[in-house]
Parts: sequence; C-alpha cells; structure tokens
Amino acid sequence: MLQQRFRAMGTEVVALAAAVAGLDAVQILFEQVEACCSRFRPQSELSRANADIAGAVQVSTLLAEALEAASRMRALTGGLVDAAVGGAVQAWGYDRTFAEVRDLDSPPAALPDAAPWEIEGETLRRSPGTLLDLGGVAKGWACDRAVEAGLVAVVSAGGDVRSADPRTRVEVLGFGGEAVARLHLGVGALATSSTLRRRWQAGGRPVHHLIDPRTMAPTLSPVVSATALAETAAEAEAGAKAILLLGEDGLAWADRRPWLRGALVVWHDGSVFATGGTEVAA
Amino acid sequence: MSRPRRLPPARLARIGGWTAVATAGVTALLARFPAGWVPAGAPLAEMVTPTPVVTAATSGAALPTTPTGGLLVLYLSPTPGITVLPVTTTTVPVTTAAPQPVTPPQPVSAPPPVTSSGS
Repeated sequence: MLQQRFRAMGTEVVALAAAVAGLDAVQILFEQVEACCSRFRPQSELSRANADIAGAVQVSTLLAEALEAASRMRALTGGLVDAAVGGAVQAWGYDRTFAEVRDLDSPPAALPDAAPWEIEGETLRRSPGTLLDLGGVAKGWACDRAVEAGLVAVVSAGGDVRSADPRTRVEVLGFGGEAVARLHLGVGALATSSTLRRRWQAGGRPVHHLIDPRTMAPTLSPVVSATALAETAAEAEAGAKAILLLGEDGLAWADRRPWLRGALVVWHDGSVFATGGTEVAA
Repeated sequence: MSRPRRLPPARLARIGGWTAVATAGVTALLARFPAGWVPAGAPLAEMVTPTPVVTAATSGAALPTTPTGGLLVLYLSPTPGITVLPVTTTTVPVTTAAPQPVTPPQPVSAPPPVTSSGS
C-alpha cells in the first residue's frame, strides 16, 4: 500500500492506494473538482455561474453533481448546511484564499439572505446575485468520488475522511494538535468542523468561516469542534457542521439522525463529549 | 445558310493543339483556385483564403509579359499584392498531467492513523 500527500482545495490531502496509478488519478480528480467548484478561481465554473445574471444557468455534469450533493446536505440538515451562504462568507472578509484574508475594520454593514436555489438535472436556478459556496461539501464529495471509483482505499482532505479499508483509524485533533479522541473508522466516513481554524478579525472581534445561515454571521456556538461519522464523507461533513452550529443541542440532534453513525464534540473549555454509540479510545 | 465546311487536316491539327493547350490552362486554373475562391476585386475582409494547392503548373512559374499567340493567359491571384504564407498546423499542448506531488508515494504496511482536525 502506498501513501501520498498533496495539496488541493486549500488543504492537505492524504491518500492511500494499492498502486501509483490510483494516487495519480486522485490528484487529477481533486484538481478537476477544484477547477470546477472553487469560488477563489475566477474562471472556475462555479465562479462563472455565480456571476451569471440569468436566473437559470446550464452547468456541467460535474458541477451539477456537486450541487446535487450540496442540495442533499441542505435537506438532510434542515437548511443548516446551505451553499447559499457564499455572499455572507464574502461579506465577512473570506473573499479570497484564506492565506490572503485580511482583518476587517468593522463587521459588514449589510448581509445577504440565504436565498433559495435548486439544481434540476444540469440547470441551476437561483436569484441572480446569490453566491453559492461549495467549499465544505466539495471536499467530502471529492473524497467520496475517489473511493467509490476505486482510485484509492482511503483519502482524507482537510479532516474529511472516506475509507474503504476496514483497518482505518482516525485521530481527532484538539486545540494544540494533540489527539483528543481515537476512533476506529473502518469502512465509512468521518469529518470534523472547527471554528479554531481559518480565523481572522472583523471590527476587533475574532470571526471564522463557519457561517450560520440563520444569522448569516460566524456562529457563536460553544462547541469549537464537531466530528461526525457517516457512510459518506459528504454526509459526515454536513453532519459535523450542523452539530457545531447547533451547539449544546448538537449531539442530541445527531443522535436522532439515522444517517449519522456517531458524533463527538469539543467544547470551548476542551471538554470532549460523544454520542452514546460512538466508540472512542481516549 | 452556309453548309458546314470540312477543314483540311492541317487546320484541324492546329485547332486541336490550341484546344489541348486551352484545356490544360483551364485545368491548371481550377486546380490553383478551387471552389470558394473570391474574385480579386472583393474586399479583403470578405475573402475566403483557400488552402494553397501547389502544382507544378503554377508553382514558381514566371509571369508572362506578352501574349504568346492566340491564347489569352490569365494569371489570377486570390490576394493581389499579398504574399500568402503556407498554412501551418499548430498543436496546442493540453495540460492534463497530474500536478506534481508534494512528496513521493511512501510504502506503508497498513493504513496509518488518519488525523481529522477540521478545515
């Protein structure tokens, strides 16, 4: 088995495969998804769709599938994970790759609403001006495609993990990079959302990239990190984000979601809690 | 109404010779200017530049300065005064190669623990 690390979608990707061909193919896949779905590349298809003034936009099969995944995650989370927060993410200053984000002198004076959008076949419908952000979903979705296509056995992209290897173990990292939990993932997926990374200042107040679509502002959740286990990385990513946004109600919400296999959260004081069925080796 | 007159064999041979020369000229012109050619008087923007067909009859042939007899020789150029360069085929490189890995693949006996810290 071979392991390879490379950078894509603004994060580090770790892939495990039986052959070099699979590792090469997964890099190409991630580059294709990033070229299609990045909101930081002006020529990406998503950027061009966001800039299109038409109410209905024809998109490629690849972007349609990514949007379909985002639409499913919105439905699964009752709207807590919504790609339509792109305008708010930009308004809060995350309008370029994170390495280039600068502090804002003041919070944004006006915030856009999370406008409705839908993908039907390869037709995207939304109000012109609605900016879609596939950043979170696209990473997990790319991991899913890589494993489901048989390119790799395990792939992790910025904390989103998808595995077809029953031996796969995952360490969830805390504040200082220390392992706060060790889980036997096996075949399945896991993802972590955190407010401890991708932070900057707006009006002297720390802000981060996790926008709550109910307020269109960075969440003030007491949970600083949420990890979810699911069948697919896209589901795990959506579940982790929803749990974090729901704060103290997050684990109870996760417990009632049959598509989530388990969850754990790290509170702002460092305490770690998990759903009942989650096997955690501290 | 005059009756058709039989010409003597010598005149028939001469007419046959001119006919052969004229036919060869027309054939060469058709080969030089295939369908799609626009008369020289047309505006340049509307002209269709044909793919150059190089034939031994026209390539490098010197322009005749005076008529050479009863045959009117026409030299027609699709772009008067403009040198038409031969059409060249260029190949645009397609950059579909995999991005260079940060580190080369490392052999591992079993999947090492994967870390997840959020993005």
